[in-house]
Amino acid sequence: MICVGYHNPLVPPEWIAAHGLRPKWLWLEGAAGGVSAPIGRGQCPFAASVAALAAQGAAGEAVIFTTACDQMRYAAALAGQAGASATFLMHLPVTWQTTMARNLYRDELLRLGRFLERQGGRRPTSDALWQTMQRYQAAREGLLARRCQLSARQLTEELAAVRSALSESNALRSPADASGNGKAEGAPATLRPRAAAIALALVGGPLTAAGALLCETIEAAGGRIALDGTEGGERTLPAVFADAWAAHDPLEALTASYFGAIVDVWRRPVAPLHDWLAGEIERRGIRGVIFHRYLSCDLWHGELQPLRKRLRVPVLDLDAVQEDHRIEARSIGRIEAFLETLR
Amino acid sequence: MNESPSRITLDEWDARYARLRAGGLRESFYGGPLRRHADDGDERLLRLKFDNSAAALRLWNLLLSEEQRLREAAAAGKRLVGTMKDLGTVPVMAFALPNLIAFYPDGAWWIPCVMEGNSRVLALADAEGIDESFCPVRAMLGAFLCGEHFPLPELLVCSVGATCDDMSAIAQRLEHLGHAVLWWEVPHRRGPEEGEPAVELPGGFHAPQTLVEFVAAELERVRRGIEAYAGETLTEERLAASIGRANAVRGRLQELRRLAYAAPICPLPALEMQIAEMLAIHFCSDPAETTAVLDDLLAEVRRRTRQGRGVLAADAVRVYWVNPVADLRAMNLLEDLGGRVCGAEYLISHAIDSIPEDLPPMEALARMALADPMVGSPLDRAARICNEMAAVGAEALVVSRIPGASHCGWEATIIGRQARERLGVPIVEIEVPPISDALTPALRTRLEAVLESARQRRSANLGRRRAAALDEAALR
Repeated sequence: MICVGYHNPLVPPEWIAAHGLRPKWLWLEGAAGGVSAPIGRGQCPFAASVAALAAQGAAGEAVIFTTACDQMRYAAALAGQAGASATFLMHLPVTWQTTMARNLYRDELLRLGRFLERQGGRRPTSDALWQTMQRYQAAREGLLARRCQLSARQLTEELAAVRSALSESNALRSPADASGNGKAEGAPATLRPRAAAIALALVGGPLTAAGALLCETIEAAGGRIALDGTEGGERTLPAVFADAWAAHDPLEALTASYFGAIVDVWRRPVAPLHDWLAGEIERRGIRGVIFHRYLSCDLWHGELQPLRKRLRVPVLDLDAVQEDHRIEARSIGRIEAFLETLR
Repeated sequence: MNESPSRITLDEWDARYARLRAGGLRESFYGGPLRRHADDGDERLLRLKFDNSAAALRLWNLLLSEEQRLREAAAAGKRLVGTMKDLGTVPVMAFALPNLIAFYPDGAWWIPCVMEGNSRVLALADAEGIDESFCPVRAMLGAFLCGEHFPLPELLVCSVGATCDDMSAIAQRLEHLGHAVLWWEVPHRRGPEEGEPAVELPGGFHAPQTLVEFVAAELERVRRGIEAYAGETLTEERLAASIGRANAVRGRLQELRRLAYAAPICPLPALEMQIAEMLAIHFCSDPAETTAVLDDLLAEVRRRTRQGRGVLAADAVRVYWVNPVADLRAMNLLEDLGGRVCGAEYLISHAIDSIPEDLPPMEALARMALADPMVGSPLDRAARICNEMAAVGAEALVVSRIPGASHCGWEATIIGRQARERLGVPIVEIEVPPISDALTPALRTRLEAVLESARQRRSANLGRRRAAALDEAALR
C-alpha cells in the first residue's frame, strides 16, 4: 500500500486512509529512520529532518507538507526539488474566525484528495469516509481511556500510532524499537509514572526522536506529564465527530473537528491556544510547564512570555538548538532543577 | 550646483548643502540639511556615504522626516492606519480616503541602525523576551512599547498566511499588549491544477482564480474595517483613483530601476536606490511627495546617464542583491569594494509591479497581494530573481541574510542553487545585523571574494570571446 507521510496534525489521517493509502505520522523518523539531516544555521531541526526524509524517499511515496510555518514551506520546496517523493503543500489558514477560512481549509482537503488520487488513491464514498473516521475516532477514544495507565513515552508513541495507519496502532512497537536506542524491550520500571510524581505539562511544537527521551528524562527526575501539549500530543487531537450530521456530510465533520477545534501557535489570533492550555492546566492540577522550543522557532518563542503571564504555574523554557537522539546534559540539569523547585 | 556625481560623507554634505542653498536650492516643507537628522539622534548617518545630488537630499529628507510628518498629521486630525507585513496592498486602500494616512510600523526595523545606540527599541523588545533570535522587525515591538518613534495608530491591519513567522509572532505580541489587530489572510500562492481557471499576476506569477477571489474577499473585510475607522465609504471610484496614484509611483520606480541598473556607469548609489524602492510600500506616508521625489531622482539619473557620468567606476562588478539590509552601511561597503548593484529583490517586488487598472479594484489588489514573492514557493521567487539577473547581466549574486528571520535559513540554498545552475555566477551569502561594524572584516572578506570571482569569470569570458573572434577572423 502506498505510504503517505505527513507532519502536521491538521492533516486528517482518516482522509488519507479513506483514499486507500497508508498515512504515516512523521515524528520519530529523524533518528529512528536512520536519516540524519544536516542542520544549517537558522534552520529548524524538525523541518530539516522531514525535508531530508522526503528528499531521500524515506518518508513515504508521497509527503504532505503544510504552510503552518516558514521553515516547512521551504522544506517543501527543497523536498519537491529532490523529487524522491511526490510532495503536496497544503495551505492551512492562519485566521480561523471566518467562514471563508474554514471553507478554504475544506477546499484544501479536497485538493489534497485529488493529489492522493494521483498517487494511486481512490476517491472515497461518504459511507467509506464516515466508516474510516469512526475507526480513527474509536482508536483515539480507546487511547485516551487508557491514558492514565501509560507512561509519557508510551502515550507519545500511541498518539503517533493513531495518527498513522490504524493496523499499526493495534500492534505497537516497543518504545525501544520505536526510538532505535537499542534498549531492551518494554518501558523500564523506573519510567512508570509514580503516584507522587509532580504533574507537568509538556508544551511546544513538534518533537523529533529526542521527544521520547525527553519524556523519560522528565519522569526519571520525578515528573509526570499529565498534559502533552506538543504538536503530536493531546493538544492537537481533533474534536469528537458529531454523529448526527457527520454521517450525512463527513467531510464537513472532518473540517469542523480538525480546523474548528485544534488550537495551535501559528493561528491568529492565538487566544484559543492560551485558553485551552490555561483550562487544561487548571483541570488537570498541573504544577509546572515545560516549554519545549527549537531555537529557530519564532512562533513558539514569541508566545513564551505571554504564556508565562497567563498561566498560573511556573514555566521552564527548554530551548533546543539541535534535536537528535540525545538530550543535552544542560537540559537534563535544568529539568531536574525545575522539578526540585516544585517539590 | 551640478557637481560631479559622487558619494560623499555627512561632513561633505554640510558644505555641499551650503553650496546648493547659495545656488538657489528650493526645498520641500520637510527640507533642510542632513546634519540635523544626525544631531537629532540618527547617528548612523555619520558613517554613511550619500549621493551628492539635490534629488538624493530630498529623498533622505523625506525618509528621515516621516516621524515628524506623522505626528503633525495626527495633530491635524488625520487618522493613522498601521499596516503590517503585506508591504504594499492595504496602504493603497487607506490612502484612498482623504482623512487616513497609512504607514508600516514594520519599518521600525531600521531604527536600531539609523539611531545606533540612541534608541531603546531593541532593549525593550529583549525585555519582552523577543530577543535577537528574531529578525530586526522586533524593533517594532520596542517602538510600540516606548511610543517614541511614531504616533501609535488606532487601527492595525496585519496580513498573515504564508508570510513571515517573525512578523506574525511579533504582531501577535502587539495584540497581547492590547492593540487590536485586524488579521487578514493571504494564502500560499500555489500553481493552478490542471484545468483549473487561473490568472496571471503582476510580475508574471500565476495563481488559481479561486485564490484571487479568496484574497479579494479578505480585502473586503479590510475595507469594512477601514470604512468603520474612517467613518467614510471606500468607494470603487476612490479605490481606482488610489490605484492610479500608486501606479504613478510604481511606474516611476520601474523606470528608475531600468535606467539606474542598466546604465553602463552606475548613476545612483545602491543605498539611495534601496531607499527609493522602499518608498513603494506606503509612499513614506505621503504619496504626492513620494511622486515628486522620484521625479527628481529620475531627472538626475537621466541627466547623469546622458552625460555618461556616475558615482562608481565603469568596471564595477555588476551584483544582484537579494533582501533588504538591516544596516544601510552594507550597501556602501559593496561599492567601496568595487561592486555595484545592478538589480535587487528587496522582498517588495509586488509593490513595484503595476497594479492592473482594467479590473475591479479589489480583484486588482488581490492579484497584487498574491504576487508577493514571500507568499509563493521560494522556487518561484528564485526563478524571478534569475530572470532579472539574466536581463540585467548580473555577474554575481549576494543573498543578504536577515539575522534571525525564519525564512532566511534556506534562502541561499534555494536561490543560490538555481542561480548557479542557470547562470553560473558566483554567489555569496552574508548576514547583516542592524549595526554591522563589528562584522565588517568578515563581510568585507566575503564580498571581496565574490567580487574577485566575478572579475576572474569576466576575464575568462573576455578571453574566450577574443579567442573566438580571432578564430572567426582567421576563418574569414
